Amino acid sequence: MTNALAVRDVSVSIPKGEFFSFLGPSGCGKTTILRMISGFIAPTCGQIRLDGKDLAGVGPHKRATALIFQNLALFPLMSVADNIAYGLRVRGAPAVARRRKADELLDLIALSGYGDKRIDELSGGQKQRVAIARALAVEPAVLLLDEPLSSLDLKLRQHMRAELRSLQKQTGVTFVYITHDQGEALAMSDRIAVMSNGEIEQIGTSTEIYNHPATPFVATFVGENNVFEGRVSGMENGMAVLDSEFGPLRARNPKGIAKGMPALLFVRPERVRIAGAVPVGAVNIIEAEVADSVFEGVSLHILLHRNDSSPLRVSMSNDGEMPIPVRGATLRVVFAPDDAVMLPKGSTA
Amino acid sequence: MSVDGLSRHSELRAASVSLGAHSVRADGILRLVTGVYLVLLFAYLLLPLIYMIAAAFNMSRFPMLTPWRGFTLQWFAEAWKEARLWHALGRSVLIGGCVVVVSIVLGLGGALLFTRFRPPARSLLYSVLVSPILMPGIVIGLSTAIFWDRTLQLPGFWGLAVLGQSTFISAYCMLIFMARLQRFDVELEEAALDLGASPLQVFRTVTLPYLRPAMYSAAALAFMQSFDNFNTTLFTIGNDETLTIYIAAKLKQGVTPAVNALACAMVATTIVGGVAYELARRREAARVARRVRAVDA
Amino acid sequence: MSSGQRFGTLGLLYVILTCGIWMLLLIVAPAAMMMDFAFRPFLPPTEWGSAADVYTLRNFGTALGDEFNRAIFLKTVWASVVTTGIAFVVCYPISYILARAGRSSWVGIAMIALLVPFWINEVLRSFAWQLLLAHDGFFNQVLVGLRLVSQPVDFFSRNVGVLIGLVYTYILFMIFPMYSAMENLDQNQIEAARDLGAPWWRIHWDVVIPHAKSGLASGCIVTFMLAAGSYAVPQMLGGTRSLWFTQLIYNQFEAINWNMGAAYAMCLVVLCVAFILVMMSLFRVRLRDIAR
Repeated sequence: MTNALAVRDVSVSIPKGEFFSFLGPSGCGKTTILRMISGFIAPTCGQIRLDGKDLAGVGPHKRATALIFQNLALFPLMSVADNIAYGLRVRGAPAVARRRKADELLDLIALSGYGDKRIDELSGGQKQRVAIARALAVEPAVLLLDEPLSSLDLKLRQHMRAELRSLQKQTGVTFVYITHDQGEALAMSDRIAVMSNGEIEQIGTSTEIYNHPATPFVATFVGENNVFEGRVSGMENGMAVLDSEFGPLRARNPKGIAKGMPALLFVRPERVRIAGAVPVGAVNIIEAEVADSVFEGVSLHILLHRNDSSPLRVSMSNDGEMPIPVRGATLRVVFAPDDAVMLPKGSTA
Repeated sequence: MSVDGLSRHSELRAASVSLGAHSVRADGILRLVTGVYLVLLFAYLLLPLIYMIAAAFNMSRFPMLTPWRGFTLQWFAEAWKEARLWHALGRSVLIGGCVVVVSIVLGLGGALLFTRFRPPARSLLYSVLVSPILMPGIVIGLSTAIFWDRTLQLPGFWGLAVLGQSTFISAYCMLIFMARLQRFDVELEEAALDLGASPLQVFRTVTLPYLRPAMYSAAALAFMQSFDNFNTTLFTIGNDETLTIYIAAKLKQGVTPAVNALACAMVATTIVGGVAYELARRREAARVARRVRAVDA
Repeated sequence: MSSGQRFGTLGLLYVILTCGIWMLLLIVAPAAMMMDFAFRPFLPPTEWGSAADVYTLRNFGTALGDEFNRAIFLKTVWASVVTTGIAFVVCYPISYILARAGRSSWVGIAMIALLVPFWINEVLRSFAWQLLLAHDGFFNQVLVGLRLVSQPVDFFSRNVGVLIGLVYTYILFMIFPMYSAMENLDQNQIEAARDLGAPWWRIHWDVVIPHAKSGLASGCIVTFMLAAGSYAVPQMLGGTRSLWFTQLIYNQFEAINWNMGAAYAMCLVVLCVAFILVMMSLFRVRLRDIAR
């Protein structure tokens, strides 16, 4: 067995009542973090503090956290109400109080009257909600969710996203959510920590992460991005010019990459427009051959051929008027320098 | 196809047809032999018991079915009146009950050790705990008698029989529990812990209910094995008697149909109990499996 | 999270105590003491720990050196091997048939028909055979009545009765492992072999037996050990002149000469272990495969 670190140098501060997500591909260490917070794994170094109190040595059954397992781990031999009230039962609450709390929560998750049903009678989405109700019943300070929507189908997943978000706002409980699905994370979270290989790449709000990625990994993992490689040939006023295969390209340079250094330039497909007539002094004009056009109903994606690279992607909404470019035609596209960002060379997703 | 090829082709076909016919004939013989075998086998298995039971109703002095001297229940009455038999039966039940308790407690401990912990020298430990199953019952009985007599001056009595039998019956119980525990989702225990249950509560509310079918199996198996045991009990029971010891002693003295009557009663009880148990077990296992499987889906 | 937190100190204590008591007090200590006894001479309690109380091989010398004892030992071994062989041949077809029959309803009935005799005490089962094989028991009545023999046959001498009884008593221990091992054989392999023209005996030799190896070995081992260690069956069906090795053990036990008894018992254990090793190399299986 290798002595690899699952999680390294992770330092996060989550305020009360926030919906916080850890986003990253499988194996990036997010499950480990969750297990450390819930108390099933002890960190080899560092601290976990809840409300200022160090949780070292405190077992999972004594922590004010509740974990929603990826496989839900609902008790198959107990009814729905017994599942929900389980935490109260082990705390010695009398049957009347337990029943009352269970009914309360069943109302909250819109499953009133389901109390006496068995777990195997529920659908996937219903089981999800019961798992959440069961965790909320113990009134935890922090609710930990381990990719709870990954086993659900698309429509249900989208529905549950909205439900989880509203539930969190309603109850005010701090949610710590882990997922590999960036759409989920972006849609539900107040803040996101993007992780790769046990380290945090960036922490920020959805818009920050999406519009101002801090590392190449974040830029490529979250949403689609076009990448241009080259060297910085000039810089001024927080902008820089990259010497790329398509000639000089201007973009934001938040990291202040110096002239002559290699860099990567990122621009989102939806920010690349088809250029009409070329105005004088225009920058970031790219002429390329259309490799393919993908019509997806709501949007149209055009792939432009590049030598030695994956195609340049251009995305636009279907405005009903735009003729779909044919393969082999030459297209001229442009993007604003403010819409592109330059980042130092690093590993991408 | 050439003429040559054609003739070779028809040769092959003829050969395979005759082979086919040959194998059909061979098949028929095989079927006949199998039928005869099955009849003989089941006769071999059931005939002695049927004969023994039927002979209990014959009015002859020596237990036999023929010549038939008339239907009677006197042998049952004779067996019923024997106080020694009731004492032995009581002892068997007492020992059986104690063995059930001891074996389940020990067996569960062993099963938990191997499914929840990672003890050092795991395979060695496992081999040692399972070894009594492979030991001849006599050896276990003898070693138990030697050990307790030498260390505590404990003579042979029913308690020693409990110890001797539990040595290997616990292993059977452990195997049953391990089979059940291996399909148990550990996350359920973790979820319970996470919700605030202490380890003892987790065991009581989550693990133990899951183990219930295995408990019944283990208890039934332990009782049956203890009740039927002869070899180990022989060395540890001392001057006392269990039912099996009593039967063997009675037979040494001389055979009367009273033993047949007793055997008949035992067989009837065993069959009724055994069949009922099998049906109950299958029903319960199917029910639990259905619920657990549906949850996993 | 440490084991203590996950299982509680109570849980840890329970597991350690039960396994400790079971292993040490019920298994290891009695076995060790029995081995100790086997190597010591038989002495009255007053002489324990005295000069005469030394380790010696004398008991074993008597156990196997004495002609009478050795004859009994060898006979027991031979008869157990024969029992195993007969049981093997008898049980192989039924195990195969049951395994191939799958889930049809008659399989359930057949299983119960196999199980029911097994639920009945071995003493009673031996007794039933005693009735059948007695001098004027059922078989003799039939044989004499049909004029197949002129005189009643003595089934008890020359170990015939014992062999029948042993095979009968332990038949389920041979069937069950065989059946389990054969059950998971893919039907397609058999179809393929048949399709390629293999006759039925080749199918068994090349396909079924190699697959079910561990189950076959397991069944043979258990049957042999039960037969060699059987007491009730030889006692009741063995006739007065012919003894079984286990009866020697019991005689010594009754005579309070537990040292000799222990020595005999150890011979039995060594025999069983030797047989296991032979079987394992014969069938080319490892211990791991046999332990079910």
